[in-house]
Amino acid sequence: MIEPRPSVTRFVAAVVRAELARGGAHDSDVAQRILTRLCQALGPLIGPAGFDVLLARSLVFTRRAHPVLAGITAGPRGTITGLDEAARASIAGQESAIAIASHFSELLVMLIGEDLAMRLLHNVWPGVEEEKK
Amino acid sequence: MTTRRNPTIGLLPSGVPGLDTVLGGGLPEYSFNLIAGGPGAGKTTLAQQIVFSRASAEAPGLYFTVLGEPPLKMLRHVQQYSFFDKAKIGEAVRFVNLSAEAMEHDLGSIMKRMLAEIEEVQPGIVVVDSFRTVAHASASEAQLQEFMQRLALHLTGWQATTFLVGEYESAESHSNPIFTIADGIIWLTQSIERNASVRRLQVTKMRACATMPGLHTFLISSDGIRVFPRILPRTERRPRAHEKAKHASTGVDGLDAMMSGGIPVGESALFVGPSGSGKSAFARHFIAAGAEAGEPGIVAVFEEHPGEYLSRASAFGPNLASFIKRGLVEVLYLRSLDLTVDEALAAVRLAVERKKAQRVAIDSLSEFELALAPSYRDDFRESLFRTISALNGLGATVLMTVDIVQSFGEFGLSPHITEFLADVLVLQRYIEIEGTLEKVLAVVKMRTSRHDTSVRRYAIESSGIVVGEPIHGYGGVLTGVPLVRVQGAATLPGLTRDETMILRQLDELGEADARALSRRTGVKGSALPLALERLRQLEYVNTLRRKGLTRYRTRTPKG
Repeated sequence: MIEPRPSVTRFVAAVVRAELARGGAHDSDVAQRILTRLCQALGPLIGPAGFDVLLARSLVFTRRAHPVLAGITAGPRGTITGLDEAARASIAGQESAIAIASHFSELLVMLIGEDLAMRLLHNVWPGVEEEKK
Repeated sequence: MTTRRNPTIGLLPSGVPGLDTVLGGGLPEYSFNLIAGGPGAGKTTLAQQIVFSRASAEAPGLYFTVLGEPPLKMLRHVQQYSFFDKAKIGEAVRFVNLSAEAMEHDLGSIMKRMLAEIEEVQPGIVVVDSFRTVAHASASEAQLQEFMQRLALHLTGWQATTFLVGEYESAESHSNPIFTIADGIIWLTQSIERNASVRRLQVTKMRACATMPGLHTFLISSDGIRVFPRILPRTERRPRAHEKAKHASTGVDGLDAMMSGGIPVGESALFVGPSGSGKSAFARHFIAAGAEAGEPGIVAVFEEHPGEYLSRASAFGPNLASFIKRGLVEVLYLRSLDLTVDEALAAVRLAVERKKAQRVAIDSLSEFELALAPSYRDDFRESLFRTISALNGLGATVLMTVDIVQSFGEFGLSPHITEFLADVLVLQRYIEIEGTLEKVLAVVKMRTSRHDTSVRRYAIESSGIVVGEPIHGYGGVLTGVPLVRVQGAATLPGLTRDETMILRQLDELGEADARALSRRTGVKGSALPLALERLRQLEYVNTLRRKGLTRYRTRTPKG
């Protein structure tokens, strides 16, 4: 079990807000949109297979932390299924997105260190600044 | 008539300490190279160190990872090295994973992806790690050869210096086309010899470069790879005018007097003696004398921890602690497992350069030799000789100590250390005179100065080392068993020289057996019983039996 550190959660929350602000996405689509961008950015670096493994592992932690997301599963190239069921279980799309992306980011931090992981994540969303505490 | 000018090949600093010396100046620009070796040899570390050193926003590094170390792990591991710079990731250094293409076993898709990345990034340096896994995707050798030719051509055309990293055996170098196409080949090996791990690097090929031949040891630490070139650049010592005929005081007045003032500046001296004979005390006096004159000094120790070394120093001879505090003296502790001779000597050399040291004490060579991994001992003498030359070339005066096991009557150093290493040789010995052990020394050789050739007693007092008067009246002092020397004029009438000597010793001892007399006089074999028998017949000595042994005593003169 991993608990995303506050700096990661704050950054991911800012990313979710930025993605919603870009428009063109429904609240329930935002998690998928974030994962797709992560896959496009990190796939060349860690390999598509590497990305898939990280996503699958982070969903395990997400499901444990948020039982209402028990139905989500990872597909290839950053795709996830089961978000609709989660929405029906009355968890907001934003909340799902924050939970999934935070666990993914925390896992990346644990594997390659916070400095490098956060640098890579900031490169995906260059304009996004997390809220100060 | 036109003058033909050869195209200049730029040499790029590799960022790997010592490697440029081996490469003959640096990495040839736009070359297509292979880093080969077995698992764990350090191939990836070498490639990453070069990339992080060379890559910049203007000339980025493109690092293709294929089916070797998973990229996540590689990113995790590379951060352990000090050369890693996270600010370079993404812009100056781009990692691109080709495992998906490699798994399709299609060289065409690999090539397409690589060319697309190269054209987009326009890198100055490219690494393919591991190229061996790319080769596995080829259907035939001809296809692989064509792939490599295209890649080499493309990368050179795009002005990239390239490194293919791969696990290869040396036997493959005759059959694998990659060895033909590559401009340069750097082999890394790691072998276990007895219980020590030995890493070596060899540049077997580097087109248009005068590389340094042979195997060069290297070390992997948290700073990455450091190569220790087998042959150091030759340093020609040019003594400054004021140094001519100048001697560095040993800090021991009596010894300085024997050596025309001390060790000639910029030369090396070897102090050879048995355990406890005070070699380290001489080393400390030498360093302290320099420090008192404002000359920085380095003491290299191996077995003894610097703390112990210094506390012992305060008990016997000058206390170096105050000089260390003032920054005039530095104690280098060079004990580590599997220490390589090149690594240790490089540490001494770097310290001398950093501190601008004028004096160096290596205390002792015997401990240094013991601290080395066994496989390095054969190289010890050669590396030591080169390093001392380099230190002398820097203008430093070097004092080394070496332990010998004093076997009476013989004198020899370790098979790996020889006295030719030094310009000055001082021999210390224990001798036994009339049942008492004493210390003596002799200046055996000074290549460039006159010196006192006498054998002198010395003592280590709390105030320092005191060198005494020459030993007179004995011969063979350096064997440890001095023999009373009998002058020809003192030979007794009617007696031979040996007979006179035996009689005098017997007179001194009162009574002795043949063995004791032989030891005191050096008369051996059948000469001794013959001489004793003649002395008995001439009534100079009497014989008596005690506990089954024949003993001799001088006769009281009649009348």
